[in-house]
Amino acid sequence: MAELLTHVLVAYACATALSWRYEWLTPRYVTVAMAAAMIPDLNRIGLLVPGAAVETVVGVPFDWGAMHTLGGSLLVVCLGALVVPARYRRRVFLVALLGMLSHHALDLLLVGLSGHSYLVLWPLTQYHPPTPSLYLSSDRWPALVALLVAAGVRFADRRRSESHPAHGR
Amino acid sequence: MLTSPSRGLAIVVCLGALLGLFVWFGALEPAPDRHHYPGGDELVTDAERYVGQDVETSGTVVGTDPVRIEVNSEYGTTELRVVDAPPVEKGQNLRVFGPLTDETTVVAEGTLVRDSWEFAYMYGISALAALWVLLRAIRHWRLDPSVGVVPRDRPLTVWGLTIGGADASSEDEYDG
Repeated sequence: MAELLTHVLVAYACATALSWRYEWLTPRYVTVAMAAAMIPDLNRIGLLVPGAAVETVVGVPFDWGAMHTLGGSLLVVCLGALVVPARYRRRVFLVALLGMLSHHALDLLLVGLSGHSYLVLWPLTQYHPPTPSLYLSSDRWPALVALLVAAGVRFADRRRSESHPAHGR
Repeated sequence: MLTSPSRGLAIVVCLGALLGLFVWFGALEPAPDRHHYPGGDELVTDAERYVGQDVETSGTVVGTDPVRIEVNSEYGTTELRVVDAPPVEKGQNLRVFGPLTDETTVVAEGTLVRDSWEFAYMYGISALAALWVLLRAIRHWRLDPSVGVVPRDRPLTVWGLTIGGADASSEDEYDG
């Protein structure tokens, strides 16, 4: 995990920029993208309910880490699309997919001491792809860069809605 | 919520598949050929099995001469001696990658040192971000027990304050 502020800001910037092209992508859907950008880090449920504790109760192996793979993340995106009525489903699914994928895209750049990241494509493959090791989750500069990018996108978005009054805020 | 049987079934299937993935992931073994190296869990539960292999783990520095780290996992705790460690102070977090030469000794080929405040920053800033998204979600969406989560079409007021509400444009919300 890069820290969540970076993830949420990047999802905000991506979704807001896409809203210039897709009229239906209104702020409420930007919110969905931002929420979905937190999905892989739901593996942190383990801080409250350790997988090992679940194992002792149910008697089978159990690891929340599956959440931080495409397989687990995608299932949560599907659940998110299923909790909204059918007429919003396709849009919610698409923006949630965008937010979720942006999380993995950022995390694939995290420092890996072995030179490799994590098993992002699991359960398709256990392979850990190579990583450029750009930053740590605890680094401060990624959030700063994301903040500047998001602010720039927000500024551009404001200018656009002033010249296209039909666009809602 | 369950406005149609197929929707309810799809939710149950997704939840079941997710549970299945948690169990499957828990049973996953390290695979060095896939660059999936043994970590804290493996070192705590069965270090002997991985002697001679590369491991990737981290822990709190508890000794500096020689450098020793306390590796915590959900399964317990173990102490490792780190050969070729960088200069560290007690209380710092040391991440290490390299071969395990015996059950409690790892030779550092790659290392990373972090202070404890950096973890506090990471969780603190993440909590703020989560709160921000939660507020936006409450502003834009609401729970309708009969059909699920739906967009708000009236502004949300809390303590007499309007917290945004519907998007200004009159949206035709139908797909297609």
